[in-house]
Amino acid sequence: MENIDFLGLFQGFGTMVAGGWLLAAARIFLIFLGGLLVYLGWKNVLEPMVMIPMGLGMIAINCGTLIMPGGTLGNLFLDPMLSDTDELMNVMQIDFLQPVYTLTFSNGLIACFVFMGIGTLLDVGYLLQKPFASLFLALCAELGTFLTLPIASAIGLNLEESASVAMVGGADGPMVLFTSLVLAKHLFVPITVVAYLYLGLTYGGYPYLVKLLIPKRLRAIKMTTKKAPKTYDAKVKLAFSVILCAVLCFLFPVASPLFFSLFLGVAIRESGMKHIYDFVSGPLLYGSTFMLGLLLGVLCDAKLLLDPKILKLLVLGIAALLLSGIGGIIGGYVMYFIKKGNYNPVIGIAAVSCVPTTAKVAQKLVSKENPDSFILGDALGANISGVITSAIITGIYITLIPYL
Amino acid sequence: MLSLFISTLEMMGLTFVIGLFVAGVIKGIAFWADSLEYHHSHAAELAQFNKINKLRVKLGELLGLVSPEGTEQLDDEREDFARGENPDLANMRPEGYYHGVSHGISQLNLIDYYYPHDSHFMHLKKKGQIMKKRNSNKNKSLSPEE
Repeated sequence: MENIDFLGLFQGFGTMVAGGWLLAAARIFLIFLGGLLVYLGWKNVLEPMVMIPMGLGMIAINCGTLIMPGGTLGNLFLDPMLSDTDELMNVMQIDFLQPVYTLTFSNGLIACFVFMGIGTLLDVGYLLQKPFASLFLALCAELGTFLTLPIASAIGLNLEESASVAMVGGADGPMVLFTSLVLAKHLFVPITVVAYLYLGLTYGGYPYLVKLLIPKRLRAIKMTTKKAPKTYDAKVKLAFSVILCAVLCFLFPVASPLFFSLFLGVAIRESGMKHIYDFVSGPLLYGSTFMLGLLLGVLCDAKLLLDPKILKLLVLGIAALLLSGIGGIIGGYVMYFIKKGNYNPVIGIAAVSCVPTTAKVAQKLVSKENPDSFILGDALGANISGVITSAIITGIYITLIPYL
Repeated sequence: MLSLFISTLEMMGLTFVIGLFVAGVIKGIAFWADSLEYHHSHAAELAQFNKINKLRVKLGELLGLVSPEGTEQLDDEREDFARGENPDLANMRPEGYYHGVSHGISQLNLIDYYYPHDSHFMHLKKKGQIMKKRNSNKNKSLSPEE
């Protein structure tokens, strides 16, 4: 019995000792963070569909580290850093999540699936009613996506990394994943984790920003319209998805998988294919989001996240979202002055494209001040425009950043 | 650093241009949808009118009445009446009338303006009957209405 090596027998503990104190501390921190995410997901403070699998994955990967045959530390979940084809084929037969990661995550398929599902949730009728106002707000709400780029570069990240982390300002998870996979693959794990963590916080954080920047009197504005809002039938919305998909794919072929996925979702919604709609808006969207959360959690291996850049990414991520929120509110104020007071500036926050969270936040804040004020239609228009502008910026960054 | 900032501003400008172009495309789609809906609704209305017209012609032929073409030849004035114009009154000018100046209280009532001859005469006939009846009732002092 005295010959048994307990650290070798219980390798989870053994690797704590073998990896050194820094790695051990990071693993313990991530285990607790995973537990916290599960708790916050369960309490509905953060999105449970992403946070519960992510937190549990984070716990499992950091507890389940073992010593591999070569003497290195590893796990039986997946290895995101593999690039050699033969090695990849071998690992795919051992690590149970490696096929899912290789065939759906690292090529952006899961991001496209999520985007397709988001497309089925979008009613583009709101955007057709007021396209200029909605897109103007959405462009203002990309302030963080632009300003974070030079800030990140100033604090030592290269341009590709800066552009990837700046995309957090677009508040669109699949877009951040797609951009970082194309531009900064070595950092896509921490950037995507940071993005999803912060996106979960928008529901709790943005109301404070709105209350700080918009006085109660303006939050209570009830917008009046002379004409009744127009309703567009399905064939118009279908034409919208076809034409816009063609235009944007023409402009940015590098981001065409995203555009295609988004507008395919819209087309499915409007074409009346009930069974496909039920599949894409249900099992595909929720299944992909769940798998995305699970893979993100499993990717939170302490040795992958122990990068000196992680702290910078945490700061830059929150700066990007904060600046985008401020930009959206500035856009709301501009519209308020253009419309001579007949516009609620809170709608600006909905232009940050976290569909449909920010639109719900805007309506909730306005209803609290004035229960008669209904802004959800305009807020959803701005919200949908936010998705389109984020996709445009993704296209611009992927196309232009390598040339700068 | 400055060059990066300028590049960022350029990319921002490009995004605004593309964004507004996309907004223009969306507005174009909305405009197309509106005009299509307008034409569509009017086409339906016209088709409905044609249908009614055909039915009227058929009914007229079956009953041996004058065809709509015949009605037109007889200078059908019903459309004018429908618009509130009574051609019988077109040449009636009270004394002292000239364009743009009121000639005082009109002696005409709504019936004169909005109903054709036959309706007017029927109305007067009915009015006469009512008056006659009322007078006869007055003569009967034990009438229950009184």
